Formats: sequence, C-alpha cells, structure tokens
Amino acid sequence: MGTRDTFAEDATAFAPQLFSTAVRMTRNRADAEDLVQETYMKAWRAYDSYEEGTNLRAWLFRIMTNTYINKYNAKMRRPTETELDDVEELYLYRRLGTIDQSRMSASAEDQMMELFTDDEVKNAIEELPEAFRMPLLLSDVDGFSYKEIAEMLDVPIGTVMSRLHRGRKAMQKRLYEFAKERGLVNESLLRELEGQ
Amino acid sequence: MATDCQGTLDELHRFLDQELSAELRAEIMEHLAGCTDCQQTFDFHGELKRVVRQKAQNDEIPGTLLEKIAGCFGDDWLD
Repeated sequence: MGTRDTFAEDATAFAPQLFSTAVRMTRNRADAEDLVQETYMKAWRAYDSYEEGTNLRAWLFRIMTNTYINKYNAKMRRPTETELDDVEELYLYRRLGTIDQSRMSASAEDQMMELFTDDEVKNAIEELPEAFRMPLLLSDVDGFSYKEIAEMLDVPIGTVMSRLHRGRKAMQKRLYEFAKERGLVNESLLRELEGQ
Repeated sequence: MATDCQGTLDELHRFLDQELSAELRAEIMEHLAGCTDCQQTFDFHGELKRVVRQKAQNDEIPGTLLEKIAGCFGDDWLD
C-alpha cells in the first residue's frame, strides 16, 4: 500500500509550522514540543478516520488545537469582558502611519519589517488571553479561514471575527508600546496627535 | 454603487483575510483605486499582517522533536 508512509511523510512536512504555533500557544518551548509530539501520536492513531483529500494541514492543526484546549483547560467560551482592554480602531496606523507617512508608505514594505523585532511580535501575541490569542494565531500566523477556525475552536464564526478583531487591536497596542520603549516614536508629534 | 470610506474600512479585516465575496471585493478595490487615505490604511494593515506572519512563525524546530515525531509513526498499525 504505502499510503501510511505517504501520510507520515506529508504530515511531518507541517511539523515546523505546528511547532511555531505550539510555542505561541503554550508560550513555552518544552510544552510546545510535548504538544506537537502528542498531536502526531493522535494523528497517527486517528489515521483510519482521515479521509484522503481532506486538508491534511487543517486536520493536524485541528488535532493540535483540541489537544491544547483539553490539556490546558483553555477557556474558549465566553472570555470575561475585562480580560482585554477595548482599544480604538486603527490604533497603530493612527500613531505610526500618520507620524511618518513616508516611513509607512506602501512602497516601503521593508520598513515595518524592521520596525518590530521578532521577539516583540511574538511577545505581543503571547500576552493575549488565549480566547483572543488562538483565533489570531490561526488566522494571522497560520492563515486559516474564519470557517476553519470556528470549527477548530468550536465557536460561531461571528465570535471568531469579533475576537480576532479585538485581539488584533490589543496586539497593535502592545506593538506600539514596544516601538515607544525603543524610542521609535517621535514624542512631540505624538503629543500633538494625542492632544487633537 | 460605490462604497464610501466608512463602508470600505468596515470591510478591512474581511478584505485582508480573503473572506469577501468576489463582488464585494471588487467594490472595495474600486474604492481603494480612487481613495489614497483608504489605500494607505489597507496597505499598512496588509503589511502588518505579513510582518506578523513572518516574525511569529520562525521558531526552529528541535532535531530531537523531529526524531520523536518519526517515532510516533510506529509500525503498530501492522497488527
């Protein structure tokens, strides 16, 4: 047959992506390693229920997400309102986009890449409460659709969208704080903007 | 019917997440083509999304984990 061999090979190709996401989920490399290993053990055991033609990547992420939620007793349903401050719309853009338009213009793509360090982006995500962190990870980092994320987290699509939206704003606020800490923000211009 | 700025900004996330119908997407594109403010806002968020994806997905997988994964695919299914 060899189908199982193909499956093992195909599934292993997604290990680096699963690992990165696992680190963001668990916020700990050792726990992430355990989570990914457990995901593959479960995937292998569930092989019989895997239907050829199903999106293998989404299937693996679904197993990992479920494993994480069960293992860490993650609360995906009804996060308390106080868990995340409400942040205004276009938070980062209003501050960084308008402070230095040339720096943020569409042609200067590399500029934003240089604006934040890898660790700052990782921390900004990892600091989010899990009900917001999970949709953001699965969407922004792993590129799954709202529908796929809703299925993985077992919440309605509208919930995925609203948490994604709020999670992104909170992440932007954190990124802005990092930029400010590193002196990348022109304070006098900022006061002008905030005093508007 | 042309979409206004607010209507366009309301669709920012769904646009970037590729969740809009082809029809609505075309309407947004049409507005963006003639509105520098909205175009810049969309570009900024599109770029932010790319930056986040790239920077949050580069953890190097430990070789020991890859070995453990290979070990998961045992031959227990033979029996």
